[in-house]
Amino acid sequence: MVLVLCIGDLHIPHRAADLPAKFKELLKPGKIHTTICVGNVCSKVFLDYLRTISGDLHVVAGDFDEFQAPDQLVLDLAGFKVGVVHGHQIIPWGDPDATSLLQRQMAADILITGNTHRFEARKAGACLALNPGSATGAYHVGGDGPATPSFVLMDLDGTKVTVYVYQLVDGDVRVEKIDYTKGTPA
Amino acid sequence: MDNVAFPSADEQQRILNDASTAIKRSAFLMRKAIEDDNMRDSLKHAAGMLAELRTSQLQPQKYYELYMLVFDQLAHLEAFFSDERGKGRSYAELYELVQHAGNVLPRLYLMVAVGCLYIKSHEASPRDVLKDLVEMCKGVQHPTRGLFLRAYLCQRAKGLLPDTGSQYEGPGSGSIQDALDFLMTNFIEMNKLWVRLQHQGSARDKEKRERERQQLQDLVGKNLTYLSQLDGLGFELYRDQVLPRVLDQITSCRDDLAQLYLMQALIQGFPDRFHLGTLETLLGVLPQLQPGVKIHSVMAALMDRLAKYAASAASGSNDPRVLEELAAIDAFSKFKEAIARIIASQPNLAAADAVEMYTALLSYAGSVHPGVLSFVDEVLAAAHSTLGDRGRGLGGDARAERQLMALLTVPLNKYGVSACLELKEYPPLTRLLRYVMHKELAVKLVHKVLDTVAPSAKSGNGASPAAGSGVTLISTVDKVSSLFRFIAPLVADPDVPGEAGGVAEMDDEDLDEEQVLVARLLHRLRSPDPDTHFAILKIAQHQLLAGGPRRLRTTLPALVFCGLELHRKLARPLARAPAAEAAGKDKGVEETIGKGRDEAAAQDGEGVATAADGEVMEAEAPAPAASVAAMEQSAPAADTKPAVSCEELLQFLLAGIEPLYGGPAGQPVVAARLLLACGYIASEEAHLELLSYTFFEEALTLYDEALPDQRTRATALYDIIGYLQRCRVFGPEARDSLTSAVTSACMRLLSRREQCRALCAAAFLWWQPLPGASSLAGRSDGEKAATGGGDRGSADQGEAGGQKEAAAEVQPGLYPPVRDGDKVVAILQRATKVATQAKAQYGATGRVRDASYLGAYLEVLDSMMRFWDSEVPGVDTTKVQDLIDKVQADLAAGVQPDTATARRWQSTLSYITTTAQQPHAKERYGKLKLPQAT
Repeated sequence: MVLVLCIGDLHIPHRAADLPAKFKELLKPGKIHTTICVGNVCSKVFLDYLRTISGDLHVVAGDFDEFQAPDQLVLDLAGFKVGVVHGHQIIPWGDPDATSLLQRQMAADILITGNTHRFEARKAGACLALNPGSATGAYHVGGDGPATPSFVLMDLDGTKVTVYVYQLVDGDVRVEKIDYTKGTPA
Repeated sequence: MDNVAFPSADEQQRILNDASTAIKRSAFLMRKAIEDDNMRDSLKHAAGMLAELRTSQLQPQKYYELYMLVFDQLAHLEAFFSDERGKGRSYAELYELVQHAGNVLPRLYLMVAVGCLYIKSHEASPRDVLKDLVEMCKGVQHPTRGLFLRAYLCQRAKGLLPDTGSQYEGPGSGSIQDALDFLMTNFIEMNKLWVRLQHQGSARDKEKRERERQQLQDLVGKNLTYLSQLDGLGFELYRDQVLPRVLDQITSCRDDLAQLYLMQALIQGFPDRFHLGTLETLLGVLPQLQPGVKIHSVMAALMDRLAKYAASAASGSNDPRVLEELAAIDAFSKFKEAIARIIASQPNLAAADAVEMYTALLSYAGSVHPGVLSFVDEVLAAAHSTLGDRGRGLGGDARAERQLMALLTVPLNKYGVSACLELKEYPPLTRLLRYVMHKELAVKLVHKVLDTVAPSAKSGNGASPAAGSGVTLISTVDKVSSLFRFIAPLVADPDVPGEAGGVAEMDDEDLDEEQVLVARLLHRLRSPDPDTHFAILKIAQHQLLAGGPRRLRTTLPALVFCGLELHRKLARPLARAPAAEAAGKDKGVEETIGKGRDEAAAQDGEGVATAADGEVMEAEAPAPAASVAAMEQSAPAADTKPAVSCEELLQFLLAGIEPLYGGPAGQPVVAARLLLACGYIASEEAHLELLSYTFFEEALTLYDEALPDQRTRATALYDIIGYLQRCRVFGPEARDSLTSAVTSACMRLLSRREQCRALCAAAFLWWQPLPGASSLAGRSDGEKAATGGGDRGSADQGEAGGQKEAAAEVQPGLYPPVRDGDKVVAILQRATKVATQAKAQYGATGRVRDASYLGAYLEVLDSMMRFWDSEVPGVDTTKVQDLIDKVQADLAAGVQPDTATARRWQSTLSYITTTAQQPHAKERYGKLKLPQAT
């Protein structure tokens, strides 16, 4: 059993002043095994902050990141192949077919992307595509109002993934649980 | 006897040891005599034991050890006296008997011991015995001996005073007045002895002696403590008798140590409401104290005490009228005047000490008058007039500067940052700090804005936190201007030439860390009224530009996004509700997993709606002290059309990004992305073709001229395509110019495979999503229909309602989605050609292992299949089959692909196989001929 934090699109300081205080309370060091960051952290200070949550930090570069990071990663986590990419490279943005193609190219069981600033969990064939949304609810050009701040915890256990979605709605943290079992590879 | 040096420490220790042994021996004999019921011997040995306390050779600390030894043994004797009375011997008789002791000191100790038992037995009048004892003790005038003797008297008598309501009160036995007189006399006598103690010992180690003397202060203070504990001590008695006599003793003793200690004991010892009623007297005595007394700490203690009292009263646990009383006697002004008098009367007062008093006064004002900001300004002005002529850095007085920092931090904590921005006297005072210290303060302030979690309940006109979120927003033009004065050192270099700490001395990393704070702060500067918000952004831009290029690198991008957020408010004033609908609507588009996705989508909508409420709550609470201008600016703008237009805002942003293009602030990569974001917004929100074109044009120019390396260029190209792909404001000509610029940029990438990949992405420029077909586009359309394109004010505004249905097809200011199969096919063919060129290159070089050109084919194949899936006209089975055959033929001819390419080829093949088995795709995919299974 491995607990993985998926987080991204903080956009601090470009588009947000801070993480929500309630998220900071939840993201205490010592609970998370591995952190996957889909990019657009945008400042070294907050990259360092993510590192305090778990030393095992995997980060890809978003379009507004200036630190050195790969564009995409494929990780082996508890028997899953986890692909990570920010997603601004996927054209058209957020397009399910384009995302599926990328997932197929990366041969990932789980593909984690960001960019749209909206939480999303989608099953495509035997694969799971996950977007943790923006942890700060940052502005997005394609959005229409303030985005809902969110992040995701994945509990990887054998062939089972439990996804916990944390969203800040009306000042309160709401948690949703989604179960997913690994299918046979397509 | 005074002014005699003590023996050396070793010698004293020897004397102490000898005396202790003697005491223990006498005590042993005394206890034996007690056992034998022998009164005469008991008294004899007790006197012998007490006689050891007659020494003058010991310093007070060593003497204290001796005293404690004796004190414990006296308990046995007192018990014996009680027993004796049971056997018929009266206390009157005993009181007589002990007076036969030969030496005065033992005699007085024994008299106190018996006298107190005498009172306790009610056989004697407390008044008479206490008076007798307190007077008799005057017989011992040696400071150490007298002090301890009276400490013993005080300690023994405290429960036996004829206090109001006590069993020792009565017409014959005495009243509160007698109790009070006893303690006052003892206090005065002890204080005199204590003050005289300083003359004991040699003059050399005065400091050490004073330290020792300080350790005895509580012996004296005990009298005041017992006084304050008298039930009969009402306010009048305190005001008329205790306070004048104590103050008289304090002033007349002319001793620094005693004055400081006793003033503090007085303030801490007696109830707050007593101080409230005698504040003037108390403050009046301060300037009369010795110049060496740390009056500032007395003042600070008094103000802190009353502030705490008021705070506890305000919270309801105490008398709620305290605040009114403090206001009624105008305690604030009294304190302020007292401070001024002290500063005037003590020319040598350290600057730090003066500032400490003002700090305490500020805390006091914050607790007692939380809503009155003018008091803060008064204090700050007073502090400035005290310190002003010392200049920047307070003439190098580091302690004073630190204290000034503490002073300047108080209002931030007590009133909140937003309220403090109205303080006129604050910035002048900060200018007395050195640049580096002021910057430290500025950092504190910024953190205060960023970290505010819960709004302080009592800050009446304080911050304007958005309801529930606890976020501090600075929302008027005046306050924002003021804020930039407050945090000046974070925004610009020192204005005093040559002062340390400027940007030239900082390395990039430190500077960036610091400027990230400023950039984060920008998001907290906003108003619900678009015009005010725009004015705020202009002020911010002006200030940031003044800070020079190295700061701009970090702060400008944040400013641009603040502008884009404002743009959304301008372009879509009523967007929230339909946005929620759209969010709910598009959940059906994708295959969703379980109920979580549904709920998440629903919550998303909810989140949007509540955030809209939050914005309304952001409106400034009317602040009493707010200027007229601020009031005007914060007027709600719900009904009136903002003066600022989308066009003006976008022009502002276009100019705003420019410093990042190149030169010292050059961040061409970031600048290009900001331009793209703005270009996208100009198209999709503002529907301004020419402006949008300009943004894209500048971005493409930067791409051509300023992007440093291949990888950056390749990545940036996808960004350009990503943004442009969704833009629908462009007419055919503009589109052609932009898309051909993009395709030629694709062709200028170095590697053929990269060219292929980029071209395949660029093909989507000719195949825009239908409204509602994907989440992002769907949302934007839903909302446009509902708002009727109000920001454009275009001809079709009136038909907005009727157009609702049709809006999915044609929107005002936007062209229908471009879906040009011929163009798509043309680009894909071009990509195929590039792949063919790559193959030719392979053939020319003859590098057997370099079969990466196959990857180029695979890029085209995958894209071709996606367009084929989407049934783009002109993309037919033959074109897909052609590509499969090409790859297959080369593989059959023995080309060895690298592992990644081989894996990708396999994944494409198995995708085709799997899809062909699914009912909905069987027909299409079944037509494809795949190579024999490998």
